[in-house]
Amino acid sequence: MGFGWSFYGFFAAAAVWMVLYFAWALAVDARDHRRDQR
Amino acid sequence: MTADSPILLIVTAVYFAIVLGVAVWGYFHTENEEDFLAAGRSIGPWVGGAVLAATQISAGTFVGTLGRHYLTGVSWIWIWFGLWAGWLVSALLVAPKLRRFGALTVADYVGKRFASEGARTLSAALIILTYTIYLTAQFQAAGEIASAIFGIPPLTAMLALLASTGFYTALGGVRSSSYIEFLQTVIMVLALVLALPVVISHVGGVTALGEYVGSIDPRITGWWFSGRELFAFSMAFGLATAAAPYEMTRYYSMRDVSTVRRAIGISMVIQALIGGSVMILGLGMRGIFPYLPSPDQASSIMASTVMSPLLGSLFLVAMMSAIMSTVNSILLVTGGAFAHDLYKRLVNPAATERRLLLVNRLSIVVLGVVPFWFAMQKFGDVQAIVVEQAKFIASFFFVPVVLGLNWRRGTKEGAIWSMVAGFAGCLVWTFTLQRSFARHGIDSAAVGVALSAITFVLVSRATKPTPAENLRIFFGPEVGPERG
Repeated sequence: MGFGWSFYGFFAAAAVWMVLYFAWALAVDARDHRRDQR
Repeated sequence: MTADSPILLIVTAVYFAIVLGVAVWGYFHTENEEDFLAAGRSIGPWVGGAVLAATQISAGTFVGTLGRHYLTGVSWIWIWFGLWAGWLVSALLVAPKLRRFGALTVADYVGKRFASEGARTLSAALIILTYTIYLTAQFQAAGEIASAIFGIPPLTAMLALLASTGFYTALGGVRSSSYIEFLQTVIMVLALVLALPVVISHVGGVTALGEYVGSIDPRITGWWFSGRELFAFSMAFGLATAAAPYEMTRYYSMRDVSTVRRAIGISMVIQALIGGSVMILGLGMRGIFPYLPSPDQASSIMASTVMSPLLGSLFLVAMMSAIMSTVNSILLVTGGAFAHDLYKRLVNPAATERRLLLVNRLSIVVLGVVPFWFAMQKFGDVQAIVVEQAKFIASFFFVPVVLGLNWRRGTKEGAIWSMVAGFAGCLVWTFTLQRSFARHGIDSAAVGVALSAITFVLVSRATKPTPAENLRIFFGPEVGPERG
């Protein structure tokens, strides 16, 4: 019995986590930048 | 054998020469306490991300975590999501406000937010106490690793760690430490990632490895730990990460709030690379040596027998880097807590910048020697000390930091009693009901944080609110300068 989703699922879930985090961080940066320019 | 190879000597000498060079450079760029404790607010996202990752990765990751994957397989990897949840809480609720506040130590925040010198002193004292215990684990790990790999006495290895790390930390403060930690992170990632193809090729590929270790015990490729166990461990690590003083002080050294958010993201990516690599290497070692007497031997045996002398040397320097970066971060926090929060406030409020720099440096040396003495007594095993200190930090500090930064009504009495209740609750539970954790599933960190939160809310409700001028710094539209 080889690796299952506890193995491959970690890498997939970690990739999704990182993408979502950076999308949020960049969106907040853009919001702060717009607010500072006002 | 890597340990006997002259290549190890050369790689180690080059590493220490660079570390020393950066420390001397930092010394000549440190003129005041803000430079020493916050690098003049100059750290960018890449160095900042590497710094946060380096402080998180310790001897425990290279020895204990790799050994845990060796023994129990894949499922331990999922506790990283608990850690990253802690980072997320920090990025959302803690880091931006702390960075805007722009102080020098974590106790600075406690003193200003709750308008209380008593709360500041208590938090500084608890940080010094808990981190002294944590340092003990790092010294013990260094002694054990050196003894296992090189056959040198643990005392010699601990002395070398104290002398080298204490020296470069005291010399250059946060500024040089940050660049040294960047280098250490690069070494750790390189060593682990380069080790992957070597170990995987030894066992005939990932698929063959999975089939073989799964045949030893199907739980190795599936779920060794139950969901409840993984959740309890994850929560303890996550709660400790969200309010870890040695991470929080580093936010102060970064350029601005945006830099802090990006640095946290970069740090999580680095941790994923390191965590994933450590898991595969642990599994790979199980495939190569299925029945080692102790799982903790997996990493040192891998470095000394499976890898080439060059890669093995890089791996051993990476292990050294993991210990040194953690020791260095803790010394900066405890030294700063003593010099900035106790000496400057209670002993000599009129101290000059020159005197404060000197006291910071001396504190680092003295606070390094105390855990060194404890490590010689060997009070417990390394991994247990690391886990326990994380639970205590979470128990007394999570609530005053996370709730304190996001609930205006929190008061100084609430903060003081929540720290006392969280610490005492965790301590009592650890020595009583924690033993039957398998039956009830309630961890001491959860008990400490819950008690701390209840105490914080009840006592704060019953006492006088914090003065508006203190609250304005953290809750008002004017949140203070980002630069110092």
